[in-house]
Amino acid sequence: MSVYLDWAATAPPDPEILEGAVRVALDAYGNPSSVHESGKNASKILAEARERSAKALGVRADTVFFTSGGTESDHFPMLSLLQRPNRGTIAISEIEHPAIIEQAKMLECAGWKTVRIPANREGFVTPDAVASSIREDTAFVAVMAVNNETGAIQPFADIGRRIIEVSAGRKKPHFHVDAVQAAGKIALKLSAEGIDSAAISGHKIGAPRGIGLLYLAHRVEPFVRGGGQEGGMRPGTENLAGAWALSMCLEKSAQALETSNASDVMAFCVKTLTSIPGVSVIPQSRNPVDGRFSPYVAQFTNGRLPGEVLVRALSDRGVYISTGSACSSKKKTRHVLEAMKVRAEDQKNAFRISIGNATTVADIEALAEALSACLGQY
Amino acid sequence: METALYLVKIGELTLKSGNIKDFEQRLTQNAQLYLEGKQAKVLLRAGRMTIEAPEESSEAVEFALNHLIGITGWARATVVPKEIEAMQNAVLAEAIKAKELGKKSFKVEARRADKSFPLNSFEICRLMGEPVFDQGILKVDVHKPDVTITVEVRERCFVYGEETKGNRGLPCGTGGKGLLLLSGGIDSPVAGYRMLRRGMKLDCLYFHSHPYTSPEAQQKVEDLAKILASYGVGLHINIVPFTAVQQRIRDSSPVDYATLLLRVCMMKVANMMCASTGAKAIITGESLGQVASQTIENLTVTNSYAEYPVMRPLVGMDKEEIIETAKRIGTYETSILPYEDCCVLFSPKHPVLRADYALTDEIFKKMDIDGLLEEAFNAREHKRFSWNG
Repeated sequence: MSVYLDWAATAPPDPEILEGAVRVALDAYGNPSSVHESGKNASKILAEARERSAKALGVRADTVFFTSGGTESDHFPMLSLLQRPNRGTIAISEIEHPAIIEQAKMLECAGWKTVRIPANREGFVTPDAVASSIREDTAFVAVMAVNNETGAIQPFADIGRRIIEVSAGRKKPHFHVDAVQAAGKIALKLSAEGIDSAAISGHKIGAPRGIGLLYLAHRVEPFVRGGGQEGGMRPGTENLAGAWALSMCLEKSAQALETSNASDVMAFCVKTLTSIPGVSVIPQSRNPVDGRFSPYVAQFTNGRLPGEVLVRALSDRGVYISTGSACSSKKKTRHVLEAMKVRAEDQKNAFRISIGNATTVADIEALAEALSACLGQY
Repeated sequence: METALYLVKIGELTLKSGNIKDFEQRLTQNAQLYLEGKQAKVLLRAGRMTIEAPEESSEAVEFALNHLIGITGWARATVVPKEIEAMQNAVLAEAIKAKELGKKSFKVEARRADKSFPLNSFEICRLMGEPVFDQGILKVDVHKPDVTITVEVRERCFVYGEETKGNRGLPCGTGGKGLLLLSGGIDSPVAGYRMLRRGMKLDCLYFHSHPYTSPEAQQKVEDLAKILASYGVGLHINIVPFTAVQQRIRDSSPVDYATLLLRVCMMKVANMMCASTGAKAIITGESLGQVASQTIENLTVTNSYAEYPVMRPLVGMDKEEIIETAKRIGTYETSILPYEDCCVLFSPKHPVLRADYALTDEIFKKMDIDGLLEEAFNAREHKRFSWNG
């Protein structure tokens, strides 16, 4: 019996949708760009997937593009900067995912300058902080919607509006929102004024790996070229089965959100875990029910064991959690916690609990029991 | 079918007059172990080893020669009839090979064991070198040549170019058995290699503390043991679970003594291991002063708990020398992978530097840890790695 509490790393695939995707792959195997009936059938299904995704996200279908995942979607608007004749500055928050942070380093090699927008001690990037980071030559701003380590919901709609304000009279910087931990988990209004692009990942909401979505409010010149698929924006034969699965997952999770009890489950989690001696939530100001945070992700720390040790000890007991971003599990620094100026000791001992709609109170009880046992045993 | 022939120079062995036969036998046996199933003939006669094998086994032979301990060097030779022209052509071929590798000058060396051969060594050198010089392939330099081409006239005639350096030392198994305390660091694998070079067979001992230490850290140690196995013609590793021991140390002794007491506990288990396997010495990668806790006082304390001689082949070496050896034997890249041997929880910020035996022993006895040490020893996992992993 195992308890999976690492949904932010990846979600167990939705079995019904996965099976449906396999049928799509087998039945509609034509290349959507082919002119014959088989191709036309495939392109019809692709169009439906696009419509379905757009509807779930509340945007127009012609702003939806299918990619290979959240990382590629994050890269897209950054790479398109490489086409500009003049180099300028990009402003990215200190708490972004490595997909954004590392790509920014590559842009620096190409002559772009990076400005880091600081987060406050509670892990939020404020519109003021963003405004202060924008210069005359800022061409791109990236602030994520939900932080993957703490669950903090960034005020991205306000930030979008603020960017418009401070750049009145000149070309507005492109504002990109990494919505990987937000789609299907919190109310996400991408069509809000000021948001130029957003990245979504399929496997975080039950779709198979290898499919994501890029929201692009207005056409941007793509850096990567090829066969002209996705309206010329994203080359490569379309992953039809993946796109279909992603659209179904978006639709399903939008519906599930209305009746989800994730908020109750996470409230129970925060309350129960923080009642274990030595365990506290990061940031400490997070309440069990707290509208500032996604109920699907929470970060904790403890007074005894390094996070890594806890992950192993809990894994022995069949409880699967993580320390921060799964991508960075081989690195030693926790850049998000560092940006929040969390004490070194607390950073080292921090661990992340992330849930899905299938997670129950019983799962949390099992976690609490195992956690207490580990803290007592080790 | 083409045969590859290798001439191998034996080193230190030749200094051992009495039991030279034993050493030679062991060396031959070890070579044969590497070459099982490769249809290679290993012969050791008059202080010289030759290995003949089908061409397709040449890679295996070269692997064996690069890992065999007890040889100073080896070279792939061509066998030619004892006729001037054939010998000259072979020398020419070696010269061309050398030129392709960028060498510019050469000299010929001759060894003439067959006294019935009409030319003397000097004449051989001159005649063999002529075509190379005439055809402008390489320049002659008898003082500092880039390559020395050797012509050996024995019952057969061998021609070969540059020698590849061997591991030197004494054949594995002629120096008794030692127990290496192996960790994932740079030092202990090098210590193990140095003792393999003195003819020891090695068993390894590794301590893990799951969940404080990761499975990756253990994998790293096993990978290092496999590399040592390739030089030691196979070895055994024993993996001892030390979680409970670490916890007892943490819970019942002053924090500054943690590292020292851990090493004392390791030494005690090493004693049990030696008794069980017949190893006659404990080998560690300790080096004086390399880390804060490796002071002479601390080394003396841990030494007092050993019931077998403790060999510290690195004790007088500095880090650069150790790293150089690690790179040469292929353990460096694995050693620097970032998986810790010991959880930071158990490493004191201010370890005791000048421990005193009497005080340490008092603290040790208070921990009442002998039962846990025995349990840990009995719970050991054993793995055997052959020379090819």
